[in-house]
Amino acid sequence: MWFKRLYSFSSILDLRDYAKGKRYSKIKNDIRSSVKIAIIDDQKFLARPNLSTYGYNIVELPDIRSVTEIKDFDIILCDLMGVGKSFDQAIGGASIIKEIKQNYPTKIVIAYTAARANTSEASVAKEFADDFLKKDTEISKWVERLDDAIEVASDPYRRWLVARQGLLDEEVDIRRLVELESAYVKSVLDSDKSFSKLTEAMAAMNLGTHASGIIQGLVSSAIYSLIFSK
Amino acid sequence: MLAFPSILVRSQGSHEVRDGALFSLPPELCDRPRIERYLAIREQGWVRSEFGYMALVRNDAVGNRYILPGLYLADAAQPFKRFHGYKAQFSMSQVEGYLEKHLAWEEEVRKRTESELTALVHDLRHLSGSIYHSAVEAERFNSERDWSKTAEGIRTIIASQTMLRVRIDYLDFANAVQRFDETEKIPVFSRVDKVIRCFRASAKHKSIDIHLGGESYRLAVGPNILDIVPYTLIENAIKYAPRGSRVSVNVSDTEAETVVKISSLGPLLLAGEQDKIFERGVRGGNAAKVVASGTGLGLAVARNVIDLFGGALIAVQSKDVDYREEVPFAEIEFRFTLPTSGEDHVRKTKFGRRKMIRF
Repeated sequence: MWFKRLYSFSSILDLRDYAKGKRYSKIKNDIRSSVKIAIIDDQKFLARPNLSTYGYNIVELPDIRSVTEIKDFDIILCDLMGVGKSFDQAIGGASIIKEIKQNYPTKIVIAYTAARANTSEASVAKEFADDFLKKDTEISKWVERLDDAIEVASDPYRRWLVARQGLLDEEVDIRRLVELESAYVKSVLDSDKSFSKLTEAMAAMNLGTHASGIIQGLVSSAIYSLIFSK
Repeated sequence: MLAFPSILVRSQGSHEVRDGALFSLPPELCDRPRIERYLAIREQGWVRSEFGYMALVRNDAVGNRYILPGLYLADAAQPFKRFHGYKAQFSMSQVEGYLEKHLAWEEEVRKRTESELTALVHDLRHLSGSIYHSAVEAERFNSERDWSKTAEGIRTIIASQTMLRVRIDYLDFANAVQRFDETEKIPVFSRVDKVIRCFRASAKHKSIDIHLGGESYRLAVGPNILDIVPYTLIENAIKYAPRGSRVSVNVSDTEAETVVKISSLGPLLLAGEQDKIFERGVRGGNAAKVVASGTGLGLAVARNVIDLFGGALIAVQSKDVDYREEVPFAEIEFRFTLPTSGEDHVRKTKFGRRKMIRF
């Protein structure tokens, strides 16, 4: 009987090819403009005017005091020098990146710097960030990397795998994880923008702050409006 | 170079045998087979080695191994073979203390060099990015036939190139002051004005209002690197001033000098720091709280440049203290004076007359 009950749960494998058909039916500029990108840099982000012509939706933040300030963004570009004053100043922006990835593992974080790539802050950034770029990188490469990041961010299958690993790291019980995964998959398949099944399942579990933050960071993303649109 | 003969085994595995600056080893203690045996010593500390002479081994912070071989020490066991003229002159603790100090000094130099190199790469890459992105933008506006924006893009490229040139001058000057002995007459006001134009975009990004007041048509005589001074002072002012504040620059003339004042809200200088910040490698305690990275070189280089002009550079701060995120701030004025060496008549005729007509 137990296996019948087990098979009533949806698996993330049901979403493995979900994003492909959705994504390719969209105009590239629509995809780019629906993803909110934050840039954390104390200096003017020089590539912004040129990237904006490609349709990216970019918001510049001179620095942040708390990682909650980026919770509504799907992709974060973070400079390594001159930011992170409210975190560990010795490693600047790398400390922001570390905090973001620890609190919101589903966010895509790209580190960039004008400084050398072998400094202590660059080493920490490379350990935690999803990608690493030099500040004077040519536009075509910026576009390539941002499109790659958007592809990952707009794939509900890959996002859940990251979130699931984060929940496992937070020692969430495997039985609860099965329930959460099932609720997530059903929400996506039903195009339920509010993720009501998932939030209900989460509310019934009394998860820790970190684990709840991982799920909230996952479902608060504006990217699902793109995924769910016809 | 160390006072004692030494072997440096680099972290990558290569080695170098170095003579001592003050002492040499008898040839029997430093022939090829002996060197091979010294190189085989792996443990750190004191080792009794060839003919009973002592060797001291220490690793530095980056994994290089220093070996001081063939030491004849006053307080160690006597060697079983003596060499003519080679006597015990030091104790174990003296040699240990010397090597510790040397390694600490090398570490300090390494850190300083790393920090300067990081700052240099950072600035050059930033300027490279600025030139590249402005050029791409100008190219786009040009293809869209938007001439005013194309011109704006080109102006930004020129401003970035100016900053790049100043940065290269700074690097060149910081490492070889004596090469800048060729002098010429420099128009002070227009150099300050040009530097301010370069910084307008970064000031705007931080919502900092940068204002240039006063007038001067005077010339100063010195090497053509004066831009380094306003560049350093204005860059610092923008870097440390709180968002939304103001940087004021004023150029005026006295009877025999041109005075340039750059004032802004900056991290409070502590007692004794007002002069100390002009020394190489020194940063204000509160400045380091606001911006963690910094080489402490800029103001020292700026003062060196002013010295070449026969002028003076000082910092003056107000007594009123304002706390921003628990760091005390005060209005700080960096003031440099340059002895006058004539006037720029062409500029005075051109701009002075325009002013007369306007008023």
